[in-house]
Amino acid sequence: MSATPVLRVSALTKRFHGVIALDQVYLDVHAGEIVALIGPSGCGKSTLLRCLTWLEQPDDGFIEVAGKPLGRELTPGGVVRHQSRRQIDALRPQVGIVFQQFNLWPHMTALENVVRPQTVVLGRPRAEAIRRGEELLTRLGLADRMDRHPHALSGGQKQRVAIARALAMDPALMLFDEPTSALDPELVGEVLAVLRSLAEIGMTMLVVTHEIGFAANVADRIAFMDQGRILEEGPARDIIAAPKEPRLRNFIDLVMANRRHDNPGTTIDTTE
Amino acid sequence: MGFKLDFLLSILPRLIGAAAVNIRLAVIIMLLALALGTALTIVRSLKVAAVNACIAVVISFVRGTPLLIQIFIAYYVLPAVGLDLSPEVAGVSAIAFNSMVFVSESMRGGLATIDVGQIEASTALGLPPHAIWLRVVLPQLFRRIVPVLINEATIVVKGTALLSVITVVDVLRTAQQIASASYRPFETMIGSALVFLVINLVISLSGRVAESRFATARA
Ligand SMILES: Nc1ncnc2c1ncn2[C@@H]1O[C@H](COP(=O)(O)OP(=O)(O)OP(=O)(O)O)[C@@H](O)[C@H]1O
Ligand SMILES: [Mg+2]
Repeated sequence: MSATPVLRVSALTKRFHGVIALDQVYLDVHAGEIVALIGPSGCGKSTLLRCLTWLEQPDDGFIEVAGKPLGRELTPGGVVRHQSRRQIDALRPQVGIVFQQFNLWPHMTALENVVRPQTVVLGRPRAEAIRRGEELLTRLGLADRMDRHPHALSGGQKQRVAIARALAMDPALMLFDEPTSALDPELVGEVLAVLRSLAEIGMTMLVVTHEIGFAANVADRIAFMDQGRILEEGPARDIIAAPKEPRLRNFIDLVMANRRHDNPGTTIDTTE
Repeated sequence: MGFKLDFLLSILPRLIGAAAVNIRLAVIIMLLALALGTALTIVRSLKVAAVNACIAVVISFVRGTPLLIQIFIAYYVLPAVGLDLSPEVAGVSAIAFNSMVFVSESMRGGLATIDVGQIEASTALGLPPHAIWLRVVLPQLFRRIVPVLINEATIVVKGTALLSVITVVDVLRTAQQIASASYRPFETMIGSALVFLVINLVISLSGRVAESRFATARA
């Protein structure tokens, strides 16, 4: 593809006290694409997403969002220049992140959670921010929950408010870190449905997930990570149907075995 | 010399008039303590080792020495180093400094209970640090420490009586003046105690109302 990718990660490396968590990660995500990031626990998936919003500072490598360097840039003279907090903050609304634990602000209503960042960060007039917030919450099925505080919402509802909060910033890219893993099984469906609807309107997304069915059915591409590296990536159905890397094959076998164990009768529909 | 209720009643108007001084000073002290305590909390959260070490020394001094001595230091010792303060200013500074430390300590305790995930979400949305403090952290902190602030306000009100020893004409000093003129310390001391008791009951009760308001606002 020739167009500038929405996200370009090159040679991203992160160590924690000398222990490598991300090892030369390369990843491109193009506009409208949905990439599922899968891999065993501790392989560095969350660390990658946290680096992409500069919550964690990578030790090496570069991140570009819609063609603009984030956090650190290579000047024409070949010198690496670190951006200031202000510069990074200016780019952050471009990358929406939805955390496993929702991380809503408990002292604000659902609507205020969505309105406040628009007025504070983007400088939108309050009336417009409210209109946008109401529109998003309504679209996510929360029209009658807007005035509630987070503690009075279910996990799935909180997760949808968190999604609305990120979407309200009009991001170029949405990151999801295991958006369903903190939810009761019966609530997983509603959040996956929201992700599907975002896919339909062409949102660009990078989704860390253990839902192999979601990865197979909704994602365009799957990237498999192990020990801080992206070992294999490709079109979703190829990755599931014909994994090349032995470690990916083992991982898929393991997830499938658990899946059959958890809810017998479900199969992966790769024809969707 | 027995207890005479009509004498007590006759001096109450003067004591209540003097209470305006205590209330005014207590309000100023609490506002200063809140503002300075918040600022101190933010400075401490920056985790600059040398700064925090200095702050720790000051805190241990404030917590480990009697408030009365701190008031005397502000009134008698600071002029010697060139800071000549009026009795009221010296007294207010000493108690506000003391209170600031307690406000900051309880805010720091509250800070530990605010989930870092919220701060990370704010950062990821692009909120600059001052907006994270103002919109996310402080509103939650203040709500959380309302009970501590109410308690601190009653301590401050009682503390203002100590300013009588550096010539501030408050309830206690007025009572002492009445007592030495009338030779009736019993009624005058009971009277001044009653004045403080009523002020603090009002504070505790309105504090309880405020707390239940916050509780219903959350539900
Ligand atoms: N703040 C940190 N300090 C030290 N080590 C860390 C830190 N965060 C992550 N790590 C380490 O980095 C590695 C990658 O962690 P990460 O959380 O990214 O894994 P993950 O793929 O998201 O796993 P999971 O599926 O369990 O969420 C792990 O070995 C982890 O222990
Ligand atoms: Mg993780």
